[in-house]
Amino acid sequence: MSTSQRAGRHSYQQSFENMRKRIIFSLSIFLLAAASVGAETEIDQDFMHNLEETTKSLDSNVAQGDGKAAMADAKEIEESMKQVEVFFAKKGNAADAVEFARKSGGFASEVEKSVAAHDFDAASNSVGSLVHSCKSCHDVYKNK
Amino acid sequence: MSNKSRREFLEKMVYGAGALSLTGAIAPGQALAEELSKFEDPLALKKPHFPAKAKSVIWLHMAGAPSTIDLFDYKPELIRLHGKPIPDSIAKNLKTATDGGVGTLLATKRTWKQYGESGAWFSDWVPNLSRHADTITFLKGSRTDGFTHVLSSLKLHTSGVTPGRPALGSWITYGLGSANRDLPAFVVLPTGNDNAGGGRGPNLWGSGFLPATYQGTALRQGGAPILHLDRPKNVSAEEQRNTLDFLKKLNAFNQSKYPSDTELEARSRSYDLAYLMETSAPEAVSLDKETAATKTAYGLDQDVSREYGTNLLRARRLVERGVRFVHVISGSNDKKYGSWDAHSQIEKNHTVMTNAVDQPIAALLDDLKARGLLETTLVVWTSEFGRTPYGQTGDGRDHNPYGFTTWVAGGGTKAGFTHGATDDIGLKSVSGTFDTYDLQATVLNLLGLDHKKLTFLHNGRSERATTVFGDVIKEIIASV
Repeated sequence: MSTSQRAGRHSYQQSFENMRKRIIFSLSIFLLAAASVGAETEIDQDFMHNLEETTKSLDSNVAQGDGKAAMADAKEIEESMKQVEVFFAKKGNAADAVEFARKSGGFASEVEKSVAAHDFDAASNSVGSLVHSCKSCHDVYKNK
Repeated sequence: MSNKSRREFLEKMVYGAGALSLTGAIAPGQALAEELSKFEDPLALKKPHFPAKAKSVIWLHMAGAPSTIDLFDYKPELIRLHGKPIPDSIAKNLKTATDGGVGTLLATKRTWKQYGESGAWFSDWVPNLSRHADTITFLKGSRTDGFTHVLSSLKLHTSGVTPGRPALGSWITYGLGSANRDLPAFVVLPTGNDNAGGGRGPNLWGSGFLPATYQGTALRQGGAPILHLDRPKNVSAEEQRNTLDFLKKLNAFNQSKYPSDTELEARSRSYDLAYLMETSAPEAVSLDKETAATKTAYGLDQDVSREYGTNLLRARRLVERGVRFVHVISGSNDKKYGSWDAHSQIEKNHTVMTNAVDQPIAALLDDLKARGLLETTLVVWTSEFGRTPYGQTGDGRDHNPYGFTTWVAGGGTKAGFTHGATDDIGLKSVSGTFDTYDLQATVLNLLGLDHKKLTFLHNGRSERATTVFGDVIKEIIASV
């Protein structure tokens, strides 16, 4: 290969390398942007299914008197309800959904207090109130 | 079976003498006896959580979903608005799944009257039931989820929308045990052969994740509800007993290796139950000793009501003998109208269906009362959902999960009482709203069981009949 050919090849490789870096940089920006949008939490079927399963787990753990596991479930539900509240507040025209989410979060908090006090009967009652609140919202907003 | 286990088996069997002669008269080996003693009896009587008002349940499943706005839920506004669209105030947030779209309102063609001191409304389709206006407790705020028979029927009976959960009868048997070891504690009596849109079938009386011994026993339709009750002519009673005892010991030995196999355990127990049923079951299901007057009262003298009437008379006899839960499925022998599922021709459909069930159910209530059984027998009349006040196909009604009527009688409920209501056109429940979980919680309560305490550990999770839901409908429970 001649010097000029080597120089041309080097120039081509350099260009390719620069383009590759630009593509990687652009993709990174895109992914960061997508991640920041995802951080707002999509309240979709998977989210709700997970919440439903956690509620069943909570009910079971309360019934079995497993304070540690029940506390973890209740905290997760309380946190999830805050996200639901934010979601519906941003969506707009869903004041009742925001209220249901706020109430449900409140019931989850009550469960935590009862569990901390080892009053599993009271915790069970609060779980009952929680599921009622969830169901009331579902009656209007599920599959909407 | 491996050589090693075969050897172990033979070693244990050396305590007995010969295969066929291993009877109860020869004491089993010490090891075998110890194994046998470990097994708890899943059907042993158990104390309820608190004093019960009812001892048994007769569950009348109106398969296919009757239109309760044509039977018990009188809606004069529906008549006034016939042919018009659903009022906007009621249609708000309404989700429907009606093929061809939502039709205009279809007035009931029934004539209506109030009966008894309670003043309960009954249409002319249920003249016999109207005599029980002061016996029945109406729950007019029923609601559920789902628009299909399969899903909603599963939910009604098992609290799940997919198969695999135990039926209410299974939970009750699990919670209370059997009151009569000679009969199954949970019996199913089907009527007709229509599949009611898929809303009937063994999934509705299975034991799910509860031990298999708690599943419902479906009796056969026709003249022989239980086959092979007679012992073969060339087998003496002693031989049969010896064979069964030997089989029991073999099963128990095998079961000791698989203690979690409840199907094996149930199958093993089923031999004993079958043996006991040889003497008890014919008497329980035979109507030979019933008077002609009783048979006529139940409608056995009419083609249209004979099968359902027979089932209800059997249901009475079964609860008399301590059966906990009798699940009777409605149906008819009509080739065209076999269930309540009247998407079209509701007039013809419900004429056939009410002719099939109205007289027998009224007779059942009369009979239970006369025998002093109504106080301790809870009769539940329910369905997977109701039917819409708007029409479908011009002369039918579609499925309506939003509001319909259930009724109960006896078993500690308030006689001649109505709880809850639907809106002016009978579409949605607006007061006293309750779901199937609440109905189950209430039935359990009347039997002395707290639905939150009747639990079973399955895959690490504490399960109950009402899943995570359920409130007892205290308003319908009679105070002591």
